[in-house]
Amino acid sequence: MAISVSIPNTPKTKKENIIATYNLHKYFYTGVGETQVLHGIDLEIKRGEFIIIFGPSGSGKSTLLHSMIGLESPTKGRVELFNQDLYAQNEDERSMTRLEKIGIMYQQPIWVKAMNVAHNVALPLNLLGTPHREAMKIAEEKLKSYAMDKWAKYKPTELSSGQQQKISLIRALITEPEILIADEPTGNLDIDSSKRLVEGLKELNIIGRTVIVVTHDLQYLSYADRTFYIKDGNLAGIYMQDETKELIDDVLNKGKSIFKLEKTAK
Amino acid sequence: MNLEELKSRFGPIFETLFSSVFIEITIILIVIMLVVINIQRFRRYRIKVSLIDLLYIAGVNLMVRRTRTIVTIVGMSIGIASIVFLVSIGYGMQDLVISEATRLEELKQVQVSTQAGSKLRLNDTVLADLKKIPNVQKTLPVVAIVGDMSYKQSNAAIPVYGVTTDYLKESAIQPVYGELFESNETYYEVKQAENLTEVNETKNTESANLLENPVEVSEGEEFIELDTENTDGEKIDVDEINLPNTALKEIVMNRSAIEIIGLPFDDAVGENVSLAFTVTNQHLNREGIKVVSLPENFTIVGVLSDNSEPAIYTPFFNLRTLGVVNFTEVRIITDDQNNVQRIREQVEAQGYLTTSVQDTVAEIEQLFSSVRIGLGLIGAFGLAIASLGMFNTLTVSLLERTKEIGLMKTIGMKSAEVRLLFLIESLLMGFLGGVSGLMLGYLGGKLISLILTSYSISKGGNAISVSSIPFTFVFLVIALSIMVGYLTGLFPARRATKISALNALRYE
Repeated sequence: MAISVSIPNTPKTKKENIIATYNLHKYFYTGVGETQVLHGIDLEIKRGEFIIIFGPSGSGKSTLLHSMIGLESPTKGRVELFNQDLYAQNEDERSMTRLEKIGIMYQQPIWVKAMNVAHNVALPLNLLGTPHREAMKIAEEKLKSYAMDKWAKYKPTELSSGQQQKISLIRALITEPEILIADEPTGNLDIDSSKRLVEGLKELNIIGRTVIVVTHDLQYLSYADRTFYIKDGNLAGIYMQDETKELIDDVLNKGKSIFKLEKTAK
Repeated sequence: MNLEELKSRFGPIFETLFSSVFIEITIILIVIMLVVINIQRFRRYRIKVSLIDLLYIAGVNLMVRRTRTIVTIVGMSIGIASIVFLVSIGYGMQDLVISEATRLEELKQVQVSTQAGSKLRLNDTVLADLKKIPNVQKTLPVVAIVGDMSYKQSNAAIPVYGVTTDYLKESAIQPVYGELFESNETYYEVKQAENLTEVNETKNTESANLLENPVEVSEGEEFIELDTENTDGEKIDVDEINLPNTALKEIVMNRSAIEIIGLPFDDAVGENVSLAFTVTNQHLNREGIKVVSLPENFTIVGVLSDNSEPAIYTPFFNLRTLGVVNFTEVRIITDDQNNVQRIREQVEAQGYLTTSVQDTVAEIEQLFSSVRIGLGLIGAFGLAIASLGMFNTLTVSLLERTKEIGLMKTIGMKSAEVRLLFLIESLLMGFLGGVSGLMLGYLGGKLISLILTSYSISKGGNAISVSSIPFTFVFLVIALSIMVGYLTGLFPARRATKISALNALRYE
C-alpha cells in the first residue's frame, strides 16, 4: 500500500506514556451473575509505538481496547490517556478526546450509508466543527493522496471490502490523530490485502504515529514494537519485536505455554 | 349547584381556553419556548458540529429512505391539510356571514348618540367638534321624529328621519324606483340670518330666538300658538308652524311605510301625500315646547325595497326649519376602519354613546372562533394519527441505524448532537408536512369554493368563496407542524442518545 502521510510534529520518543492502564478490572453483570472480563491489567503504551494487542476470541482484548478509548468505564482501576485520568472526564469530554486525538478503524467498515465516500471521510471534520467547504476540500485532498478520489462520489457500500477498509483508514486519519487504533482490521480481507494494510499501518507508525492494532491473527505480530498477549482477562505477557517467535510457539503449543508465559510476564 | 351556576362560574374560563386567540398565542409561545430551550442546550453542550452539516446528514438520511420519508410526509400533510381545510372553511363562512351582515364602508362608520336622560346634546357645536377629530371625513346628523301621514282616507303615524343625501348614500340606501332627494343642507339659521335684516340678525341666528319670537319669522309663514296639556298634566306649548318655501318637500319611503298608507308599491313614485311633523322638546332647546308643522303635500321621489320597520326619509333641512337644534344621532365617516376604535374611544371619553358595525362583526368573529376551534379539533385527530406514523418511521429508522449512530459516537459525536440530528430529521418532516399540508388544505378549500361557485353561477348566482386563510393562520400552521415534528421526534431522539457507541465496534 503506497501511503503518503503528513508527519505529526511530535518527535518519536519512547519515553512518554500515551496510554496507561493501572489495575484495570472490568466485570459485567448479567442475569446469571457476575462475569469477570478483565482482572487487573497494567500496561503502558509509549508515544510512537506500534502495539499489537493479541489474544484469542473472548480473551477480553476488545473490552480492554474499549476501556482505553473511553467507551467502557472500568469497574476498578484507572485509565490514563495523555497522562490524564480518562474516566474523570465526562462523556462529552471523552468524546472530544476521541475526536481530536484518536482515529479508529473498525473490524467491519461502518458508514453513514446515506452519504457518499467523500462525506463519510469528512464526517470527523464536520463533528469538529470545521466549515463544510473546508472539510470537503480536506477530505478530497486526502482521498486523492491515497488515490481513492475517483470513488469520492460513490456510496461506500458500493466498493469492495479492501477499498472500504482503505477509506475507513483515510477517515480515521482525516483529523490527523496522534493515536491510530485498528480493531481486527484484517478480519474481512484476503491475505494479500491484509498484508498491505498492515504494512501501511507500519509506515504510518514509522513516520511518528502511535498505532494500536487488536488482532487474533498471529501473522502480523512481527510488525509490532511490542505485543500485549491477553489471555482470560489477564495480561499474559509482553513481547518485544524480537520475541514474537517465542509468543507464536507459546500460543501454538498450548500445553507447554502456560508456565513459560507467566515466567515471561514477570 | 345547578347548570346555570356552573355556566356563570366556569363559562368565562372555558371561553378563554377555547378562544382561538388564546390557542394561537399558546402554540406560538410554546414554539418560541422550545427554540429558546434548545438554543440554551446548544450553548451548554458546546455543540461543535455546524447546523448545516447536521441538516445535510439528516437530509441525506431522509433522501435515502425516499419512499418511507415521502409516505410519512404525505401522512403529516394530510393531517395538517385536514386542519387547514376545515379551519379555512370556518374562516370563509365567517367572511361570508360578515359580508352578508355588513358592507365594507360601514366598517368605517361610527354612530354617535347620547344616553337616555343625559344632559349632553348633539348640536352644531358638537358636530363641528366631531369633525375636528383626526381621520374623521364626514359627520352626518340624523333627526328622528314622528310624522302624521295621510293619503286619501288612510292615516298613520310613521317615524320620519331627517337626513342628508350624503347620509343615505353612505348608508347604501338606494331606491328601487325613483331616486334620492338632493339636499345636503344642514344649516338653516345661517341662511335665514342672511336673508333677514341687520336688526333681527342677532335674534335669528339662534333657533331659540326663532322659537321664542315666532312672529319674527316672516316669509309669509303662518304661526299659531296652541296650549295643550300632556298626560302628566304638565303644560306644554304647542307651536304650529308652516314649512318655509325653501323647504324641499320630497320624501323617500320604504316598502312597509308605503304599504301602511295603502299606496301601490310599484306606482308610488310621484304620488303626493300629506305629512305633518311633530318635534318634541328633546330636539329643541327649550323645555316644555312641542313644534308641529301644518300638514303639507310631499312628493314621493323614491321607494326602498326594505320591508322592516316603516320609515320615511326627508331632507334634514326641512326639520331644521322647524327649529331642531339637537340631533338624534350623528354618523361619523372615518377614512379607515382601523381608526374607528380610537375615534370611538375619543368620542366616548366625552360621555357620548357610540355604536359601530364592528361590534356586530366582533360578535360574529367570536361565534366563529368557537366554530373554528371545533373544526380544528376534528382536524387534529388526523394530525395525531399522522404524528403516530411519523413516530413509527423515526423509530424504525433509528433501529436500522444503531451501528451508524454507534460509529458517529465512537468517532466523537456527543449525545446532544445525536439528539439534535434526530430532532432535525423529525422537524424537517414536520415542516415539510406542514408546508405541503397547507397547500393541500388551501387547494381543497379552493376546490370546494369552485364547485359551489360553478353551481351557483349555473343557477344565476354570484361566485362563492367558502374558504379563507388569514396570514396569521399560515404562521400558526407552520408553527404547529414544527411543534408536532418536535414532540414526535423527542422520544426517538432521546432513545438515539442511549444507543451505545460499542454497537459500531461489535462484530455480529
